[in-house]
Amino acid sequence: MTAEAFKGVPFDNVLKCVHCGLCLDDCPTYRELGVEQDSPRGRLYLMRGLWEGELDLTPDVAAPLNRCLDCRACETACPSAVPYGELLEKARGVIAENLPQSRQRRFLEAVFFRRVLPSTGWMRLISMGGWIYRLLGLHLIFSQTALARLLPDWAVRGNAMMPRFAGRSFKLGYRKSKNKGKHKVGLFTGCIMDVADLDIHRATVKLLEASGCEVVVPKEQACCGALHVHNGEREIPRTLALRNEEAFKDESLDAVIVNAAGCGAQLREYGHLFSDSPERNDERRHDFGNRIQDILVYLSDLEGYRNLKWQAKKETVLYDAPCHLMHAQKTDTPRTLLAENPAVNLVPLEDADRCCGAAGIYNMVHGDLADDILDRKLDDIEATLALNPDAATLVTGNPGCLFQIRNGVRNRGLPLRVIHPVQLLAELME
Amino acid sequence: MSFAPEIKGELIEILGAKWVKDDPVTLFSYRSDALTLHPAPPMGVIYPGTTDELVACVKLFHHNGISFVPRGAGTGLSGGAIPRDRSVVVEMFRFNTIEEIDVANRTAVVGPGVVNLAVTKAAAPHGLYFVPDPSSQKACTVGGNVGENSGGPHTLKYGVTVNHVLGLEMVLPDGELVRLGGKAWGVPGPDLLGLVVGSEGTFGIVTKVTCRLTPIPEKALTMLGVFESVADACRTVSDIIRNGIVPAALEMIDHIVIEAVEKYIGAGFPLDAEAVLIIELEDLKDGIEDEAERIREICRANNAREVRLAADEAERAQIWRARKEAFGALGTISPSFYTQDGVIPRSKLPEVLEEILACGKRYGFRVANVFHAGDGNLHPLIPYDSQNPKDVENVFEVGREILEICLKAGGSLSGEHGIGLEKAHMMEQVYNQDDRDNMIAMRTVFNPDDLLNPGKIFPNPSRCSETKVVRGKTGIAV
Ligand SMILES: Cc1cc2nc3c(=O)[nH]c(=O)nc-3n(C[C@H](O)[C@H](O)[C@H](O)COP(=O)(O)OP(=O)(O)OC[C@H]3O[C@@H](n4cnc5c(N)ncnc54)[C@H](O)[C@@H]3O)c2cc1C
Ligand code: SF4
Ligand code: SF4
Repeated sequence: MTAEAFKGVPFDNVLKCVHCGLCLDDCPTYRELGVEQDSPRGRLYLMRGLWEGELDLTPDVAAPLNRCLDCRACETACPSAVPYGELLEKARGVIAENLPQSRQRRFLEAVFFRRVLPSTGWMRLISMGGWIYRLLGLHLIFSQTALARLLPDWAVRGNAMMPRFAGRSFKLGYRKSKNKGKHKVGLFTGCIMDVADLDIHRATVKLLEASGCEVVVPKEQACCGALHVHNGEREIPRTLALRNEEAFKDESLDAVIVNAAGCGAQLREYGHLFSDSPERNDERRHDFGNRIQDILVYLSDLEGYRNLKWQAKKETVLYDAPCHLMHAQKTDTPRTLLAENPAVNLVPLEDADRCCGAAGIYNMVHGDLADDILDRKLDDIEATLALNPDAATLVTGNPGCLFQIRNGVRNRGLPLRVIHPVQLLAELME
Repeated sequence: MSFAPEIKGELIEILGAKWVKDDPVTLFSYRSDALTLHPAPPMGVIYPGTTDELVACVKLFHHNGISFVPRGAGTGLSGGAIPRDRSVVVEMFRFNTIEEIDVANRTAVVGPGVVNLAVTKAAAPHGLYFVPDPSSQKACTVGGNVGENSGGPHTLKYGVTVNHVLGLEMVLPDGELVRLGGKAWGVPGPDLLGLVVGSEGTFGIVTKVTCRLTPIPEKALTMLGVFESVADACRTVSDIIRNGIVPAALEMIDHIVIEAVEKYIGAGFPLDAEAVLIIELEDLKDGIEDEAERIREICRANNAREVRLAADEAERAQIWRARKEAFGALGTISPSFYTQDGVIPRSKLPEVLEEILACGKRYGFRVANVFHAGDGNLHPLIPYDSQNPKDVENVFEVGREILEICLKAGGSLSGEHGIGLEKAHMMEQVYNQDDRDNMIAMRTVFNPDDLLNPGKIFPNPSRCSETKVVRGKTGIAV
């Protein structure tokens, strides 16, 4: 019964969807568009139609599947435990392989996915370029003058969202931990985050060391492959997976620490990525996934962290829960950890676990829809600020969300700094 | 077949191109609601944003003899929102504003596309809530609740949707806008409001709902009774009511479901029990403990092995989560199951449940039960293999026989999911020709040409035999 294009792709789990619709109201794209095929249930129905061969693979069928944020809020909402993310990523793989792709997409694949993201050298080069670009104030020229009108939409968005490039690689410059701590952990540094906003990695190392850990940062590690997988790329991320597994093979590591929710989710799910490549799908993929820990989740179990001393003055903070922690890694521990911190006055943010529209590079590809989704987030933030005028900080544990919300907050002129929770904790430490 | 070009042109003029769809992907996506058994693609889908737009579209359909059907979230389990005869689907999603919360009169005026739980969320800061709480409440819409006259676990004490709706604004199938009821209780003359609630979208399209809000009870207690036999649990249900106690909710879960729930959620239900009862009391603080004590005694008198009181909010939430997600949990036992919905006088529970189990067994199915015991509303779940055609055939047979068992016991075809498409062919077993003719005559007053949601509740006379099973319905969580 299976359609030709799905040969060799295990997809039976799509049958777990009973079409009950309980996921609808939790889906940001459905809430925005109100269209069945832009809901999780509708998308699963399309995927099932493709898989069973009832639907032909056409650009019209692919469009709603491509409009999905892969935020996986539907997984949390679903009472039938449908593994939505895994199914979507496989379906996108099939689409990418069987449908002629747009020029933009082919460019992305040939340059960005294949060459740039996997290569530390390229990332450093870009970072240096970005660093100089900002130093010269070019980003302002592009965003504040008529020049912006000459650029394609995605370039304007990329410019506005650009992280603070450092011009160098964190992992290559990392000096061995002075600490011979109780626990030895590996730090995963990512692709873009290895060369931008390095404060986040620094704060991560500071917290880990203060909590009694020795931190190693293998230089051979690579991009996690999440952006690839979300865009239907299957083979490149598999090579990245094998590289990362190799880089962190040191068995004395207590855990591999990740401070980017999206990367963490991807690293944990290499098993899914290989499920349609059975000859290489063995226990090691799963074992590696089990060693991955989000930084805050890891800290929450450390005695050394529990003994840390915090500043006396309380800081009022909003927490935005990254989808890939909340819905993909299914943990709310980062929020509770912050709430328990004596130096933090955590105020609840309405719908904190709803996507902000960043979703990897979604905000550059589906700009208008991402803007609408971001607007809802900003409305919620504004409403919370109105009730808590002393709040000056919002934390979120995923770089994509960080840049997206930071950019939105700046555009609206809200009096709020947007940082990673580890940066906040590192500041609050005595 | 999509829209004829002239019709499409006019619709676009009224709504704008974005809100008129008839491409193949849309037609495929709207061919079923939560009943996936009888998919039927619409002619197209429209998304009106205002009452004026809706009225204009309805007039257009009326003039051109095009049938149409309103749709909320499509969580209906009887096919109410499935477009028969290539009807146009009128998606009510954009009617999603809460216009007003009136604390003094305890009412909320909402659009029919507002999600049920959103009403309660909006009312909560004022100490109020919207009572109807179907298990689908986080997704289903108030319009759909009105359509199906939905209930939930708390129906036992507080009634169903019709008891919590004070007024409606509605577009009739010829485009006339009418208002029924209002903020005040009771209107002179026949109760048209009561007639429309539960008419499954065959009388008119609701555009505004005035909901009654209820104060959040001062105190709630949740108890768990553990039994060695289903019959004992059933007798307890009747005894509680007979003793003049009306719990807010009285739900039963049998051991197949207990097993699944424990595997999936781990709510601490004893694995070797045959049945558990979830009993919730809601009342003023004073006296509620005495009531709990009396329930404890009644349970013991019926051989309960254990009666537990949830110690805190977390334990309460855990018990309710287990109940609300029980059906999802059943997925761990079988990927597909068929949910039936029937209602019987609660005193007949022990015999009827036994008959249902026996009926399942005859076909080799292990029927599971988790249901609103207090009001005798059964939801037998039949796990089956959707890839096996024989199983699919049998499961419908069992579903039908179960309803016949309910009818024989003096019960009815549906407790809360409606008749819709699924059970229309069984109406003749409940009502004789005269009764059915009279009911259809009543519908004709509102919907004379049967253009609004045709083929629902009563089979379409010319095509009654055409409802065929196209594919096995996979399991539904209720
Ligand atoms: C997991 C699950 C659990 C459920 N639990 C319960 C439960 O506990 N109790 C219960 O009673 N039901 C339950 N249901 C059934 C269903 O959720 C309810 O019937 C619900 O009220 C349907 O709402 P909806 O918005 O999805 O409506 P839809 O399914 O879209 O429509 C239902 C009917 O209402 C009509 N309708 C919709 N909008 C309008 C309008 N604006 N004007 C006029 N008619 C309209 C439609 O034409 C259709 O006939 C459950 C369903 C599921 C999937
Ligand atoms: S992943 Fe997010 S956007 Fe995609 S269907 Fe699920 S909830 Fe909707
Ligand atoms: S994904 Fe889950 S919640 Fe959504 S329709 Fe399917 S079974 Fe229901």
